Amino acid sequence: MTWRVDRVVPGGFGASWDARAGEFVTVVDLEGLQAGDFIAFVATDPQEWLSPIHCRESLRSIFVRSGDVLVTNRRRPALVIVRDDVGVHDATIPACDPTRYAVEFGVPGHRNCLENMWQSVRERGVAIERMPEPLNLFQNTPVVGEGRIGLTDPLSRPGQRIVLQALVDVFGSLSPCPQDIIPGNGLFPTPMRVVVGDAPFES
Amino acid sequence: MRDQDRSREIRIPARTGVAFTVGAGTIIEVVDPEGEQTADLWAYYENDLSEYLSAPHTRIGNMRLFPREGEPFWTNRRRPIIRILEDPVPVHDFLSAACDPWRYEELGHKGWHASCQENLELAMKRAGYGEVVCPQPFNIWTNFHLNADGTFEIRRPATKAGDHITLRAEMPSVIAISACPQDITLTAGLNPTDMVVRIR
Repeated sequence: MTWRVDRVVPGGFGASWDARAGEFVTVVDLEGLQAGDFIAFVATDPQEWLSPIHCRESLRSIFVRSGDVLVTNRRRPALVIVRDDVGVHDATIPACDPTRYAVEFGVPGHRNCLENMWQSVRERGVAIERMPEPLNLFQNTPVVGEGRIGLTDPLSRPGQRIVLQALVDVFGSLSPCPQDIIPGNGLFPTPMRVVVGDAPFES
Repeated sequence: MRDQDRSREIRIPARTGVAFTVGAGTIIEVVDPEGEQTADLWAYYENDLSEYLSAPHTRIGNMRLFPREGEPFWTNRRRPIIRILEDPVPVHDFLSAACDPWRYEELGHKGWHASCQENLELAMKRAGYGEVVCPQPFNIWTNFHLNADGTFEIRRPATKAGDHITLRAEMPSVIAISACPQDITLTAGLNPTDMVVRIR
């Protein structure tokens, strides 16, 4: 099997990927305890993107799980989850961004998912006006009673993965989150691998 | 005196929307005059509309799915933009998208149907702001019932005639409010009605 896309993305950095309709996108947490912000745009019109907001409404759930069809901001199917080793992902909190580190943690210039995603999409030469809300793969944001949410480390172990099949031609970005100040990635960002091909990536 | 500094009352006819500007400190009271109605609310920083009330940033800012009395809504630049001062009927939705043309198509409606997203776009144009993004709104009184397993259902609004929520602008803002035109699901009690906004 040859893979059309096969990238190891260093912890704290971002990389783009693309998939044609029918292809499988496998995201592997190589060392465990790592969350990855994941966005996808429809290739024929990047004003249409994978939208966690609309997914919630379509799935009637604030969480996603294996078998779920993920939809766009125009409420059309974009990807379907065909394998999910971990079963815990986040679709409610934002990508970390410059303000998060500069203002809230006093660390200006810290790497962040928002800039990683902008940069990797720009590298494809595509004009994007607005960055969608991400689906935060393996991110563990439990609802802990009375609507309160927690921020804790992912449950993923080394080599665990999620596989999404594209239902239309899509491209996107994966950013293994650089958060190393509070829990979210075991306080130590580590690499993830994104592989695209005619079958789920096994190994 | 600027128009935005004047006390006023705006009646939003059923199925339509309005946009207006307010200074920091302005009190915005949203009233459901007939009961069982829901309204989508958006807020943008007046001096730069690319900064707006952001649901995910509000969730992480408060570490809650839904802001409570006393808590703010946060922008995508992590600054408070609006604060809830009084919330006597604290059953809202802060996880769903605005209804839009695709939603009504999905529900089997043929042809044009008013939607909160279109109401936002029209109201912002009328107020002179041109094209804006439609972020996930604060769906006032949309009765979002969350189950322990993360699934949810939308029930009839819990408001009675005259119920209100009181908000305060924390920065100069452009506020848009749509009296939700949803008449196919229970979101607006199957009977969309007017909303009233009192500004002081």
